[in-house]
Amino acid sequence: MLKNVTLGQFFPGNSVIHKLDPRTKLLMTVGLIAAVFMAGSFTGYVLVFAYIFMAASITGFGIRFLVRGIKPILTIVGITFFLNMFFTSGGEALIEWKFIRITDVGLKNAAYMAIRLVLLVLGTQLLTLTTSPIALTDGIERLFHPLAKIGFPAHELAMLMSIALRFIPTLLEEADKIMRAQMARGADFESGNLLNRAKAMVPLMVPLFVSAFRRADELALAMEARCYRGGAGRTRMKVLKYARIDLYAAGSMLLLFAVVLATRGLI
Amino acid sequence: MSIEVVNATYIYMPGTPFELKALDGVSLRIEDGEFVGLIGHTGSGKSTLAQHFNALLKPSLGSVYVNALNLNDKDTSLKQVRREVGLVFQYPEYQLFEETVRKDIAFGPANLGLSEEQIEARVLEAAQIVGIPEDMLDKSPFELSGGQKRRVAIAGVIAMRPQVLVLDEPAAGLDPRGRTEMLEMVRNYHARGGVTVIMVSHSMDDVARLCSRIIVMNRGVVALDGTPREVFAHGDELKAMGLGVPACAELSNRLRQKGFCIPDGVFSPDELAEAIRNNLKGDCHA
Amino acid sequence: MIYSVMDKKNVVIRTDNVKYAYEDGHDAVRGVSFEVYKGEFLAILGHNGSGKSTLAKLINALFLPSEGEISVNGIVAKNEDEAFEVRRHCGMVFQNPDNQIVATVVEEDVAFGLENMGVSSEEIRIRVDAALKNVGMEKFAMSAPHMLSGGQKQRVAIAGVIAMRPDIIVFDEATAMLDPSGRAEVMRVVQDLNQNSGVTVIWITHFMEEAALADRVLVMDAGLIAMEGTPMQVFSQVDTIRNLGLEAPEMIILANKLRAHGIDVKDVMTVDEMAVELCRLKS
Repeated sequence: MLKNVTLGQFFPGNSVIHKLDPRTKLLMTVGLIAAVFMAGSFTGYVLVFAYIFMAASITGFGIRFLVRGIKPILTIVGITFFLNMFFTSGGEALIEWKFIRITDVGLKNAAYMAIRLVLLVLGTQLLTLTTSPIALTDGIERLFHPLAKIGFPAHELAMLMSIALRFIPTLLEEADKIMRAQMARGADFESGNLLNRAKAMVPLMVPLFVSAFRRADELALAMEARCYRGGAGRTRMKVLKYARIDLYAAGSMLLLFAVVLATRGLI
Repeated sequence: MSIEVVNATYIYMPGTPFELKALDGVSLRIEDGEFVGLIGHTGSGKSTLAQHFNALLKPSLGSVYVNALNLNDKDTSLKQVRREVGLVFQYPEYQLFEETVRKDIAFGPANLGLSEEQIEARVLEAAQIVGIPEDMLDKSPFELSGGQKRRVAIAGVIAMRPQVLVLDEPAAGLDPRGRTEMLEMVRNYHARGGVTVIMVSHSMDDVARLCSRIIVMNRGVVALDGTPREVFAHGDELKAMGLGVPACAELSNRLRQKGFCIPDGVFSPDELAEAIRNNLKGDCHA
Repeated sequence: MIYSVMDKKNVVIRTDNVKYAYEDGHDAVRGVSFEVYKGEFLAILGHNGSGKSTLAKLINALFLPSEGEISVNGIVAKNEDEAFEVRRHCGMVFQNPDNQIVATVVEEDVAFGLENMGVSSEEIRIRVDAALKNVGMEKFAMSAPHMLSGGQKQRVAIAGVIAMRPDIIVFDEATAMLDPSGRAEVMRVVQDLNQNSGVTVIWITHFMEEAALADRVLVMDAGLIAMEGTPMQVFSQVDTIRNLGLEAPEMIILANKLRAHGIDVKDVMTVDEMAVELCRLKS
């Protein structure tokens, strides 16, 4: 069920990490992703994991909570693992049976890819768990603000994201209602082959799109009525401010990055 | 076609922080051919109850019977139940999806697996009942006015020839004339005979005009159940539940307290004017 | 009945032979002239398609008239900048509570208009808190809008408008999608704004009980003003009202029937007034 999925959800809290500036957290996440890709050895991965472990403890959720979030992507991790295992050429064959050939390099690549994926999801979860969607869009808007001068639509992008977040629950509720209404007219969404099921979605999708467009129309008018004219000249109620703690957090990420590079002999 | 609800409890999202008991041990019986108003404010459980009548929801505890068929039974065919109990949701115009009005009304009958001729006959019949002229059948439903769209959506359910028709707020959002016409249509549909009609509403005025029985829901239980006159006698309780009493019924209650004698069951200005005249001109017959 | 502080000498909106046609050629408003006075509660009635919602959007400069002129606080909007000015003076609350809330948190939504106007952060904070308190939603400042009831959502929308401190607010069928208790909630807030904060209210509706609370009523039909007057003057013309696709309040219909029976009741609008009047006649 949807309600058991913790991946990508925001959980309010009072930890230091909750209070970090969203821009810091965004940049740290980028740093973490880079570290994951730079770390080409088990030592490197252990270091990154230790960092995530520590951060998870500071948030108060603990690493176990993050691990629960991996469940929905386990299939993807599995597929990645097997694809890498079977389709890596080179190296010494460990097992050979008919056309299947597993090599030591393949196995290593597969394990690395799986570990990277898991670390990525664990790490990015720290961002979404501790940052409200609003703070996140704010952070993105502020981070990309300098690019607005060269025509990058930073404000529009952030507004788009925040409106999407606002309307996802409304549209989900609406989809549920339309589905029930069509079921009351004898529609069957649950049985039949793939093609039939796809066809059965038409009575759901058409009204949903019509309604989404109508909502968009009305919302645009309502925004105009409240003096919306795009990003120029806008102020914000909550202004983002870097604090000393942001510096420390960013410093810790730099340190991790440096150590990871060192394990590969790049520094 | 009778509907019987026995001690039904329904809990939304059990075991989560959002857990909500929408129905709390509801028992009632609706007989064949009745015209029932199901009243309650938002969150009273009336819409949840309505969705139990055709097994869109199943009670967490207790049972629902349609014609003595237990909807909890695994053997009970949901298709059969939904063919016999038609449910029109609130703002049903938002479920239209076909290219033409004709095709949209035909969606339900087609799901029943009827032949082309049978479907066509039912579309025409349903369109006629809701007052959609034949030349409108080949238009796109999205070109119609709000009131017409709603009629088309209702026709889509009527075309399945349900023996029980449940309508959730059929007049919501319509202007006074649209409202009167819509309620008139529902009344005529019931008057054709052979069907049970259950109208879910938060407007006492609407149900008072049409229904012979009113069931008032409050906090997931049946608070009142009786004829309009029996129910409106509980004016203060209704107000406490966030429901109004039709103006004439309220005035009747008020005047009775002041020593006027107003006969029971007076809801229209015509009847009430008559009764007041009798009081003021000194010939009181109560 | 409490009348709001209406100043007939002080015209805040003046419309002069305003016409508006949609792109598909539909003439929604076909020549409308009227004035709105400072501090008044004006109800605009009409059946669906009578042009009342189009008129609302013209007043708010969301649409610009095809012909004629509307001046709001002395501003005639001819371009986007002037339209922006008009909207600062004249706010608007729409029918569908879901489709006018922009943000994922209540207080952020209330701040939206102020942010667009370029108000400073400190001032926004003060005004948002005050506006939420004004509509009795301060406890929900951090809530997600989709968890609120219809009446609560509309109160959030109203807070978003009053935070901008407009002189005039247009309500375009703001209660049409609410249940009776939601309607009562919103009506209470709006009456309070009108009577205690001096906001001029233009209340577009087809609910007679709501229009009965207004100082003055305009009835629209086919893009024109068909009737104008106090609620009593307008509603007592029961048959004309019915021909315009509306229904007079039941007590007025009853009063008319009583007069037909030769009982001389005074003009009354509510059940309370009618009960008092009949008791007076009885004794």
